[in-house]
Amino acid sequence: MFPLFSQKAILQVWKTNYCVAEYSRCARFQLSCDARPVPITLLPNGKHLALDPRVTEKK
Amino acid sequence: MLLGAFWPWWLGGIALAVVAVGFYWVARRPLAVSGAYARFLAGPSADRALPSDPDALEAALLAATLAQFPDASAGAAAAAPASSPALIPTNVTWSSQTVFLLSVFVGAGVAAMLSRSFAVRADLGPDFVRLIGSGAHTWGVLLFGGVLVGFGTRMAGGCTSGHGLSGCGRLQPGSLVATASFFGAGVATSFLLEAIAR
Repeated sequence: MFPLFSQKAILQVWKTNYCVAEYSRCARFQLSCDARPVPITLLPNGKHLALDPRVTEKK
Repeated sequence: MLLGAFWPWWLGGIALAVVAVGFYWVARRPLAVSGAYARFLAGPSADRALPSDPDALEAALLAATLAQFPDASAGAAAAAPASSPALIPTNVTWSSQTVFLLSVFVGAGVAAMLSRSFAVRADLGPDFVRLIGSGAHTWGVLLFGGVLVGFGTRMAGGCTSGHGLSGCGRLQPGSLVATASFFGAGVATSFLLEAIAR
């Protein structure tokens, strides 16, 4: 997901709070550890990017 | 004969530079063959998950960030206005990556034909035959090597094109380390094989 964005300052907020701080809480990391496909719209907090109303509900 | 069995180094360098820069100019994303292959294997159904509007994508990310981190993201939003140009767009569709991969084969074929070295063969040359031998077992060796290469490229997040061409060209530290690692390992392995087969 991260390579899709140009606003690196915003991405840094997510990286600081999940990738660096508590990566085990990251929903994307958890799916990867379970060898399950990681949706491209899934955010580290378990929610999906609100690109489409069908994928906005919490995971 | 237009070219010898191998292109001269300077011509190969210029061609690679034209391909790497040209790919970025056309696709607006760094050249990466292993990434394209992974995208190809994901199939066309994954296209539905790709947003088509970069501005909407950025806006959705900003909204999600503000909702999750209302304090921290305020400064980030000011530092990165929505009008900032997207370095990497989102139109990485299955069809575009498939065309790219096919173009790799076509380009290799054209280069081989120009050097008059085009031939269908089941080995990697005389050195491969001398070290590995010939016969059905070589297919297993090649398959095993391919699996190792695939595993390594996905673990490292790129291959010789993504890290070696695109990453090193942009002086990305990770790409410099990755390229030094796999080229160093390649040289060491070749010396080791030579010593074993001697």
